[in-house]
Amino acid sequence: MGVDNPSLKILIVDDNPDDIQFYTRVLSHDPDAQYTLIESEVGEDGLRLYHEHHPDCVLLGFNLPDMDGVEFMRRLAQEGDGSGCLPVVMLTGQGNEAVAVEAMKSGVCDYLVKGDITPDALRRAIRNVIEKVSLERKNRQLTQELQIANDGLIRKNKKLEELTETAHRFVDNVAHDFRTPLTVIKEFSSIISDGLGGPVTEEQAEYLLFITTATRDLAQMVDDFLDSSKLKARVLRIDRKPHSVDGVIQPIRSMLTTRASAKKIRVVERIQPNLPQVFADAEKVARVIMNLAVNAVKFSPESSEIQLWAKRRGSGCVEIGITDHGPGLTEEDLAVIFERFKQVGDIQRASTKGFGLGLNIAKELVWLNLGTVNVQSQRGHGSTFSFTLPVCDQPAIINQYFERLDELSEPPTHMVVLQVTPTVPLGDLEPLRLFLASACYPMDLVLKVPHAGSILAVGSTGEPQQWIKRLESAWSANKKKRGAYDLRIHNMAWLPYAEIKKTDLMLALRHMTELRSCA
Amino acid sequence: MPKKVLIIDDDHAIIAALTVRLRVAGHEVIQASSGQAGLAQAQAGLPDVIILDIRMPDIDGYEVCRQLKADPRLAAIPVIFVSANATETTSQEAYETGGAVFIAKPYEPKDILNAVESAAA
Repeated sequence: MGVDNPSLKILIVDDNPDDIQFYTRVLSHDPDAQYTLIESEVGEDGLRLYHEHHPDCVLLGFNLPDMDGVEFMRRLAQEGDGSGCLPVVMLTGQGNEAVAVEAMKSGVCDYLVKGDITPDALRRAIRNVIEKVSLERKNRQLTQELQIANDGLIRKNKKLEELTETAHRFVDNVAHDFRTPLTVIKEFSSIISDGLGGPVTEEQAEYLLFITTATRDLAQMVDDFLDSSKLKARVLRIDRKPHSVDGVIQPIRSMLTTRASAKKIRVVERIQPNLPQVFADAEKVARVIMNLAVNAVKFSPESSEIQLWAKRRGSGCVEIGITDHGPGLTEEDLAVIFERFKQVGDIQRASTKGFGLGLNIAKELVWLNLGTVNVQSQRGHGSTFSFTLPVCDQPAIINQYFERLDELSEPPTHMVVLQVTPTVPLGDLEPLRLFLASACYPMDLVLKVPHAGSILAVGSTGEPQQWIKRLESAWSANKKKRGAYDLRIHNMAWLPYAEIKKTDLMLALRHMTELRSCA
Repeated sequence: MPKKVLIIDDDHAIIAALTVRLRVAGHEVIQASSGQAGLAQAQAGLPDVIILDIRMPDIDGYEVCRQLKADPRLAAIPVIFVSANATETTSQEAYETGGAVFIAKPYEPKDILNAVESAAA
């Protein structure tokens, strides 16, 4: 630090010989520092000496023969490196406030009135100026370094976003390019085995079934691969809405029977009558059932039976399950069975196919659908894999949703709750719901507000601005693509997560209603 | 009831496979292997149902569907999207552009036949 420097370079720019003599005397008697003094009586020469010697401090008289102190400062700042505060103490005989203000505005570090200066005050002023300038330089340097680091981070972040985008596009493309030839292989083997290309012997039909089954397995692996990479990147879109359990099962029923029939396995459905609607992404739930069923078929003996069942579980859930008569699982298997890339051990390995992603994906998809997976199995007695889904009732859904958030390794600190309405009545809110579902992250929640003609979106990201930004960018993309309707963010609440939990799980909804009345 | 089905897909093998299935079920099939050709075929052939791929080199299936829906003579023809690009957004966009059904490849032939038979103009 400059104050500890034994030798300080001081430039005195003043035309009053008495004052110069006073400064010289005071400084030469300073026990704490040694000074090298450079003197000039006129401003122009003073400026030259400043640039030539780079003094630690300048003692500047206000009235110079060729310019005043303010003009001197202006020139100094103009000719300088733009590094801000200049190490100048201005001294003037005119002790009026207007001059003091003008001097400080011109960029001097300190201002003293000549008649009142004590030796201590002068030395202190010099030291303070030197320290202030040194601190300011250091500060500026740190700010610059921070700016550079920040710019670097922004660049890296952007690059990372681009890479992620490329990776997702790549995965989508790979999946697409795999599925097209898979469709051709599967379809023509099935066309031939159906006898549409001429008579087929029993033996040929059996071989063709191998092709069809293998192709289906490969297609399943492509789907698993796609889901898994999206799950890992947390970009899988979840579109949860009311569905009947049968409506979820229907689209995969024929695929399920076909797969089972390859091993002469019967699929028996035991669906409890009058089940309430569930709140879920039907496509994802169908994938879960398919993954569990494929596993059950894989491990079941030929000509056995698997059960697809569904029943009410408590007041808030429906449970859907698959029970097989396969070899069952050991305790060790059960401990790891839902992990990524894990397949069950020993004798079963020989007959397994795939990446070992199926059950892990099933677990993740159930989790995102606000449910939980369960497995019950005993070696030699078959296995039952099941999962729950919330029934379509807002308190039940919100309850499950908060349970999910609590399970996160880092629960959110805040939540954003938005009430969104279309600017023109859409009649049906479905397009708006669809848009929000596609713009939301997997852990966000989209609910219809009953009788309010609007949609409630609950997000658990860190910053409300980020949330809004994401929505807006999705919105502008949506407009470009579809251009149909417009939306208005009707109400927004930014709530501390802990508070929501402590009070009432319906607080979010109620809060929106309250906000609406004051909006 | 036998229907006249237009298949628009840039993959000839897929067109061939779908054609076999549909003809065996008694339907008449006309084909186009690009989006533009598909629009021309739709105007010339006035099919009862259109099976439409999404990713095609000239204009994609969404655009074909939009143009079909914008043409008063063709707007009522049900469109069945069949795509290997089955993501959450593609099926959503397929429905939003006016598709009646979205079927993912690899498809179950039964699903295609059901969709064609139940499609009503």
